[in-house]
Amino acid sequence: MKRIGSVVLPALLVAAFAVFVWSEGVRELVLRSMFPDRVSYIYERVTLARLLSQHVALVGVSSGLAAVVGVTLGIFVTRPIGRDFHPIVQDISSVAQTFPPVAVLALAVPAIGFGFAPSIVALFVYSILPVINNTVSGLDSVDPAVIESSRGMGMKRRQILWLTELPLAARVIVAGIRTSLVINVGTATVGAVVGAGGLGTVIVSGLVRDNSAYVFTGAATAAFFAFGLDFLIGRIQNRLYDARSD
Amino acid sequence: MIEFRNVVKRYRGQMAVDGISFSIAEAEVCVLIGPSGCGKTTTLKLINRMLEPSSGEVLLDGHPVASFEPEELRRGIGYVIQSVGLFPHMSVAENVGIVPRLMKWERSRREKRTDELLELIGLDPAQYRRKYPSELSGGEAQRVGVARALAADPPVLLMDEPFGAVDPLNREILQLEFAALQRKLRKTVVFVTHDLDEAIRLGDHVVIMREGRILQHDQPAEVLASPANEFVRQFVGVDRALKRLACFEVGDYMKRAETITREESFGRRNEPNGDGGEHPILWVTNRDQALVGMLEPELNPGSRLVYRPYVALHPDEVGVRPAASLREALSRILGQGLRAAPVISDEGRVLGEVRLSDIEELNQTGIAR
Ligand SMILES: Nc1ncnc2c1ncn2[C@@H]1O[C@H](COP(=O)(O)OP(=O)(O)O)[C@@H](O)[C@H]1O
Ligand SMILES: [Mg+2]
Repeated sequence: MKRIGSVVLPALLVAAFAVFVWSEGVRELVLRSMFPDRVSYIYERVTLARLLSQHVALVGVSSGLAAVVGVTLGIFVTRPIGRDFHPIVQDISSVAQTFPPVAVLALAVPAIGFGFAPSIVALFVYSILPVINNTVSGLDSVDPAVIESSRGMGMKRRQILWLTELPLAARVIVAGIRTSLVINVGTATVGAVVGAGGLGTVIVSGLVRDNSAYVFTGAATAAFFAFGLDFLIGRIQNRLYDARSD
Repeated sequence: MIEFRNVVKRYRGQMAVDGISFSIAEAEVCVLIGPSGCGKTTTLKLINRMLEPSSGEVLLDGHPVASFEPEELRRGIGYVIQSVGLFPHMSVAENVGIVPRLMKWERSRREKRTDELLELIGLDPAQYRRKYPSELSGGEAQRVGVARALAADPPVLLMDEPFGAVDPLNREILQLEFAALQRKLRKTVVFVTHDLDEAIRLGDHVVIMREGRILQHDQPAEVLASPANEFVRQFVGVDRALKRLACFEVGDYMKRAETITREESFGRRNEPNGDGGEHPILWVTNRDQALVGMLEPELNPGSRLVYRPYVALHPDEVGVRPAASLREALSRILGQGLRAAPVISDEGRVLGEVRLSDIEELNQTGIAR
């Protein structure tokens, strides 16, 4: 029974999703049954698979950078040398997170311009915040007695970080990366407006041409992508140490 | 083995350790004791360089600890932290094997050593190896903490209130286990506590501290017999005479006991024997020399020795083992309202007796005031 929920069902969903994305025939059938009497069901300029891969690239590059830089910064401000920056970084990241992501992207256009690269920068700036936030609070919440005990066992600073602090904070850190990724999948659709490509392209085109089948195509694909990522990371998280289980 | 030479530790003007000098011999348990904040933990951490002295020096085996690289030094010194400090994300085996891992032992050697240590502390490796600290009881966690400190077989062990967080009953069990372990391993142990009974039970020497200074450094019985000053006297308490009895073993004060069989005992009732001397209790034993009861002598009004009726006894209720303390023996004696307690082997055989009169005498010669 457990296998059906954790393996079979997700596999079936992924297969259905793949068919929807790659087989234009099937997609047209599905869309025609949902939205009868449209002029067109298949976006003709670029294939959905290509838009999806652009989307994956946008999200992957921006969130990947955000994860690496965010975790590094989070570690830095919790070390003795970076302590001074701890309050500033925490204030900035908690304030910045209250901006809606779309507003961040809209502001980024006049500042950076159009295209793929500027979108990456905008997405990166926004999505790094939950990563830093969670890294800092995860590392801060490690019991000082356990760190003291690590020292007492003869661990060097770097070993304390890798063997004690990061494993204990990993679940919280990964939760930050998870938030960052999910937000980015949604926000990246807006990237189409600034010429970054991705699933937003077909949504925008659907809005302009008043074609809800296009809008649905883009939105559903993005949503599935987001769910899939969330599911995967959730499973990684479950393998990590959970402070609440003590 | 460990020597403090005029060591001072200041924290921004506040004195934590105020010029202490003392040394700890190899294979002895030295207990640091004193009220909270008197500098016990600080003193301990100066040994493995978790803290650096403001002045003075600490020597280990004749070498200043400052001459070792801190991490290397710590890996060579077992450390049991206050509040356990087990790694919650690591299994019991990983916790115990952490120092060997830092010392880059091979996996197979590490695993072998881990199992060996779990057996040593009385936890079945097959059952406990894979458990996580959150699945252990307080006592089990403390045992694992001790095993972890012993992993690389260090000659020196630092223990900071290792049993402080355990309930009194389990604490006593842990103390007895530790004492037995120490008899086997003979480590040089520096043990911090604020529990005087623990200090007496475990320490070969105790160091009584107050406000960063050493007030008295002596064997437990000596400290209890003659406190160095008013503070120590207060600290050890008005019942120090009683506490002191915990420093002596029954086996060293055991006298020959009179034993008879049940059959012989029938004839001994009311046997006239009025010569006015000491009349011991007759311990009645069965064929296996095991204690089953007693005949208690009594002088009747005509100064004639008579024996009271036979009383059946349970060895575990009246008897003490040779390794027990005189304090325990006294408690048995008073509990039974007798003049002596039988000393019993593990099999229940009568080995001898401890007498109330001997305990009183020891008490009077030891405690001056
Ligand atoms: N990191 C520190 N900073 C400032 N003062 C400290 C620090 N650690 C300990 N102290 C002070 O030093 C004194 C001795 O502390 P400690 O050795 O921990 O005492 P104990 O272990 O006997 O309770 C206490 O007064 C304590 O407040
Ligand atoms: Mg302390």
